[in-house]
Amino acid sequence: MGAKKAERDFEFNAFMTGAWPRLMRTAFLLSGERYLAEDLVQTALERTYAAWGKVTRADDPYAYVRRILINEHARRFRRKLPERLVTAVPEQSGPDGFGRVDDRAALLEALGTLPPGQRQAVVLRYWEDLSESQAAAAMGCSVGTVKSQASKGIAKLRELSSLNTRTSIGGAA
Amino acid sequence: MNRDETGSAGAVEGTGAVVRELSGLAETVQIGPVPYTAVQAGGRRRVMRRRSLLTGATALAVVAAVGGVAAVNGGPGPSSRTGPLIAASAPLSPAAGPGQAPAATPTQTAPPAPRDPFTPVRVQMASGTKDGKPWTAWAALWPAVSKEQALQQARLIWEEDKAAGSTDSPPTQDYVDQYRHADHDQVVFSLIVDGKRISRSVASEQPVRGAVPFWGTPPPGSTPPGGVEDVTGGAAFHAWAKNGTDDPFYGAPEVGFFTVAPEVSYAEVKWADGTVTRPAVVTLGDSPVRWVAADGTSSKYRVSLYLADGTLYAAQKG
Repeated sequence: MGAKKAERDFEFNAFMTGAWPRLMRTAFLLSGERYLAEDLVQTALERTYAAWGKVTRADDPYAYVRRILINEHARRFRRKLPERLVTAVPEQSGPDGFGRVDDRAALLEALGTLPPGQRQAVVLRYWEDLSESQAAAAMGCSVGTVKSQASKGIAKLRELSSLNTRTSIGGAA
Repeated sequence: MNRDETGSAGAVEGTGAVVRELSGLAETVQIGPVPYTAVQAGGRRRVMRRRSLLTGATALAVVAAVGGVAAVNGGPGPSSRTGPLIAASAPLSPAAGPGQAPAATPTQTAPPAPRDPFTPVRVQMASGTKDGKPWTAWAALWPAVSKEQALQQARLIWEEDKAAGSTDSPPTQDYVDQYRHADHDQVVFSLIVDGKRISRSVASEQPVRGAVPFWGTPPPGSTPPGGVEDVTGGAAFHAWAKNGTDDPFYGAPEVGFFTVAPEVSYAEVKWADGTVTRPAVVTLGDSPVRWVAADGTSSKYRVSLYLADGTLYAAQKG
């Protein structure tokens, strides 16, 4: 019993070590704030630990945890609109390297204005690099919903002039 | 990039720039150390809370054995606590025969207390000695609260663990929203060994009188689903960490607590060595859910609940 539990904890810790950075980045894009992201990931991992037996039986444990993360984010968003403090209003910047930080601040700001579904769809499709069906599974919705949410989200983000400028210079990926 | 289904990133013109910026943005977040201890502690707390909720689910009956404890108001309880203290438990019948109803049902009832959600009713459930150290097990009935008061009550419960040395994080609003249910009392079991309160408590959520249990169990008076075996619910002091480094219950007596259906008259515990004991059936304040406790002298026992005519109502292995 003791050895089994120790083995389980060792296995979970190993998984957590590998998944933590990626989960943190996804949570950061979803929440827009590092400490909120840490809280989100920690909560998701606690729930993962509590269901570790089921998680390890899943085909893709990381996908299982990501689903928990997405659900947790959606649940928090439903209860309370997120508040995020910014130190300064991001200024418009050009496509040069010096403007990159401002671009990212603007993107973060823009992400924060997206409804949770659009934000999740954008992050899952274009940061987590999931297919539409994978994103639909993670969000617990239809493929059609993912398509429309991602499309609307991207369209809103592209309204950022810096991104438009960058696109016109670098071209579409 | 995924290119399946709709061509993915290329589906929306200019998506490439967003993708690049998202990647850059994600890379800017500072990744701190992995909080192994906090995550595992939180996960264990969720497991324990879920077990308590699930085992309380059938709200039927059961048993246990307890050392004889006289009913005493203001007895040796947790001295730093508030709220009425009531000792429960009755002298044991060391060898009652099956189906033989006791002359006097060993039932103790705490007087109904006002439903102050921040002042629990406390009852001593069991006592004994292990390794030469005396121990007592207590139940505290924290009355059901409104949604607005739930966090405050949860923090009071947590503070008792904290005062005993617990390092668990305080409950959050999210935690309360997720795990607390309306119209349900919190029954919190705690253990005092050699005068020192163990830093972890075990909670069980139980319906208030007239409430529909959230787990959907049949109403009192109906036949236990699936027969009489393994139908009881409850909670237990149990060390999940066997190395003793991070589990306050390591080495402590394993006391089991079981819910008792209204129609049950008495309970028996049959231990592995053949001894049969009868624990007291305890009522907590005005809660409709009664309890019995089985002390930790052995983990091998079978509890049985009987109607007044000696009919077996429910049973479960310890």
